[in-house]
Amino acid sequence: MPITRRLALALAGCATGACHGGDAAAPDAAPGPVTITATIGSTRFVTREHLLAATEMQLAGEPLAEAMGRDLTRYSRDRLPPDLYDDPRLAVAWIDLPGFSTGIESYEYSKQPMNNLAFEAGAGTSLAYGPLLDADGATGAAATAHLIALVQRAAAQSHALGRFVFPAGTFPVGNPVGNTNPLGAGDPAHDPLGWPGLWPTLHPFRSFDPAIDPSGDVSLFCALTSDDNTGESGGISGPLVCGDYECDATTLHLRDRAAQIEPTITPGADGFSGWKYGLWVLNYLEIMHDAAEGPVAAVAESDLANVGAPDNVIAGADDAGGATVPGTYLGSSDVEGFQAQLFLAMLDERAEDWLAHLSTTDGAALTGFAGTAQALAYDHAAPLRWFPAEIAVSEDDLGGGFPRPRYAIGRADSELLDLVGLTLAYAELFALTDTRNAGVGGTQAARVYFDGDPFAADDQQPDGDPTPHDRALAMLRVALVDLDRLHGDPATGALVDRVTFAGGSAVRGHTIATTSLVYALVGLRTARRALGAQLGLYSNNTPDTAGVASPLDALPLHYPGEPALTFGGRLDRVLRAQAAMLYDHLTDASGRAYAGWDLATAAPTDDGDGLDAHAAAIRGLFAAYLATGDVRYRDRARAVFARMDAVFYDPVARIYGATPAPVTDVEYTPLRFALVQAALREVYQLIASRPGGEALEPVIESRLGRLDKLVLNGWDDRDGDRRVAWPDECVRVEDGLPRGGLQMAERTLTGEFGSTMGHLAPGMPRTATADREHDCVPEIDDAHVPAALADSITFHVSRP
Amino acid sequence: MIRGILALGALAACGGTAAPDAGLADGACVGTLSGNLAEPISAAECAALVREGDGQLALRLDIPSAVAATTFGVEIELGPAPAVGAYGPATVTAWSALALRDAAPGTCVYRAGATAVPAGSFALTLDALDAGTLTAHGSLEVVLYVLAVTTANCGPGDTETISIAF
Repeated sequence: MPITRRLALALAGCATGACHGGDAAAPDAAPGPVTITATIGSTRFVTREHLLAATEMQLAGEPLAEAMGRDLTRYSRDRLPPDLYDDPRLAVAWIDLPGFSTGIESYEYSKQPMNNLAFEAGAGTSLAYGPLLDADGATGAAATAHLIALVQRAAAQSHALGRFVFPAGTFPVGNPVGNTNPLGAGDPAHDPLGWPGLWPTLHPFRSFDPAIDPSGDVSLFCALTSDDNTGESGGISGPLVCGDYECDATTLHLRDRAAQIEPTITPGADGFSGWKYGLWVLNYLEIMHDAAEGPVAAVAESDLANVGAPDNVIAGADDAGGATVPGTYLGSSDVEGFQAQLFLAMLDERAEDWLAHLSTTDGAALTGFAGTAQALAYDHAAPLRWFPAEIAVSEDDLGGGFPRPRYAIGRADSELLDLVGLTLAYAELFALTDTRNAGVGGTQAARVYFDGDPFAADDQQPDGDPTPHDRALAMLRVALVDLDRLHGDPATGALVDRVTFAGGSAVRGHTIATTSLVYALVGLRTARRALGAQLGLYSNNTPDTAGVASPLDALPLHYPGEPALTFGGRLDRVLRAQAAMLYDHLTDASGRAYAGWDLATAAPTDDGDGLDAHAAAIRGLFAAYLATGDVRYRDRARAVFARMDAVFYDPVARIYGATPAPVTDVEYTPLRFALVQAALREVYQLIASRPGGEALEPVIESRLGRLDKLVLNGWDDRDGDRRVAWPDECVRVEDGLPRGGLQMAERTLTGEFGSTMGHLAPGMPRTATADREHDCVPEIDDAHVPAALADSITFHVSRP
Repeated sequence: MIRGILALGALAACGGTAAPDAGLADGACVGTLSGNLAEPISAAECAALVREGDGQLALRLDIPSAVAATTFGVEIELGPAPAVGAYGPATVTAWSALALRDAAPGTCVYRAGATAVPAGSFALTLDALDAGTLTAHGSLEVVLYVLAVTTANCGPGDTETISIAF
């Protein structure tokens, strides 16, 4: 019998205290007496950077935890402490900080600001005035009627109708499951669309003060369900009941919207939020679900058109081929299938708005392409047209509950990162509509969304049809042509951050930040994978196949001096030029990384030695390796990581400093956190988990667990016992309540139910709590901010 | 300052194990345990080759820890006819390492292996082996994860490292 098995059998006895070891000594002393506290710099929600970080956090969430070998079903947000991993091999639960903080916390934290932005806060222009939804130019209640129709249709097709979504203006009592409202506390006046309090946005604002006043009540007896908590939605313990705000978003609206918003929209805020929406929709569209919310992997092809029809009795098959419950609906669960339709509508409406109304040819007036076909034909010889960096928003209250926006150019410049965001967003949407992509758009779960109902079907040709497929392609075309045409240095191929306009003429800047270049690389690779039908949800770890035809190749690019150069060919060149810039100029063989490059002086933009540049370079070098297959980039990434860890990691305080360690203060922003977390993730997936890289595995797991728990949650495990000494080990405590770290608050998905008990029934006494699981992150109704990241937090390291 | 990663990288690159001791008796081992536990290791009956039912040879070690009042068990499958040389997780079919420590009211589990989560790692150098007498000499380093069961305080470190010559 293998030793592990013999000893594992003995463990059950030890775990129950049956094998005391006599005079076993106490563990070694905790780390040195270093104390970390924190002060918040800004709570403002800066959309572009926040949603960039949220996407990286998603990638460093479930997929990373699974890469680390965790079975995600072995965690429970209901358990105290929730960090426990119920190990199926050992038959005991052990405290798993890296696994829980990635697979559950990072992942779910990343989702909530997205939902807040799209559905809850009202921090954007109203979807009611999307150019497709409001094609008849209706205003006021008539415009809202279009939105009601969209919400009701989406709810019916996902089976959310009657559980979470109701006829507009109603709030029924006593639903059997979901938003049950047994006490009749729900207010019909709060439900103008169907999901109480829903506030769907079109273009999110560039930034806003996220202050909210969520309800602290648990009177609707709401039980959220999704494809990853079905075990907690019912069973012997009954449904996991959560705060009312989970099913009624009324109290999640901005407290004083007009005073809190920056009335500006940007391509970058749209782009990076769109990347996030798209990635999450890819997740939601991996499967369909049945009337009992069980997964449906396939249905008979002849049944597909009727999936999602009200009261359908289509029975499919699950992953194992077993029959599913009659009734098959869109998306991975009732709520997720519903939200996926709204996200897709938002992405599609935005595309139409940018293409038809929100570009400019002179930097003064907002105009648009004559049609999608004209946008698809945009090339290097066409009159220049670009997306301005800032568009000012004014709003009119015409009734109906949602203001009508009007737009005007605020700042006409073009920003590289903005175009990268749009590229990422529409690469995801295109993949979802591309039936050549067998693992994404070609699946039944995706095709059922784009078969004419709810979204228009396409002939799969880039010919300007009024479909999400062609609009996504058109957005990719315009964003990437302008990225190259405006931001590309003709001499070197290098991209620059900013282009200004003087009298309608473009004036190209001459500097590129490493961070921008890295995300340009990520965006270009993502676009190439999407256009080549290779883009998957999280498949990131093998070098791409080269030379795959792009549907945009058929449309002439008219690249100066090279009339035969195709879109895909040019895309490859631009990508390789950035990879070379990162290798040749922004990093060196010692592992040193630089913050940026000045093309005018052919030198780094400064001589600072910073964490951000190193972390970004690692992310970009791995992207270059995966895009090209050239192992030089992977080896350079390894060298940069070795230097990053040696120079910036403080092993006593166990924190990465922004400057060489040791530091006494270090500020974290969403972007800095995302860069460091992404660098660690990529090192794990592309080195530590590969043969020969095993020695790095514990290092990376330890760094990730500490980074997430300290920087995100604001928990400094000073005595090293893996348990929160609450609130003493929380780095930021105000008025007796821990206030989290960069993550300012949380809700049900990460363990806050509004009460100490998750399984309540009407009449049972409730003990309200502000931080149920004592993880230092408070519930949103006590924090008065959403489950979102602060814009900056500074950690103070006190040494004896 | 020598950082952990560089140290780990260096250890991995050069085998990372305690220096072989030509004077060790068959079955004996000496070395160190480092991490939350820090102690010298010395045992007369520690290492042996085991012929398993399917004909495979396995290296089996029982490494006592006085501080933890437990024994670290390590087993590495070497195949039917192993040769001297270097072995690691990628070159063997199966391996595992486990120890339990009472830390009332909980338990500390020290674990690594091909099927363990997280996996940990090992670096084995076999300098000599005799399949007839089932003896072997060489050096071994094993990195085990420290798993704190529910309420145990197992110390601040996430790993324990065994470095021995046998």
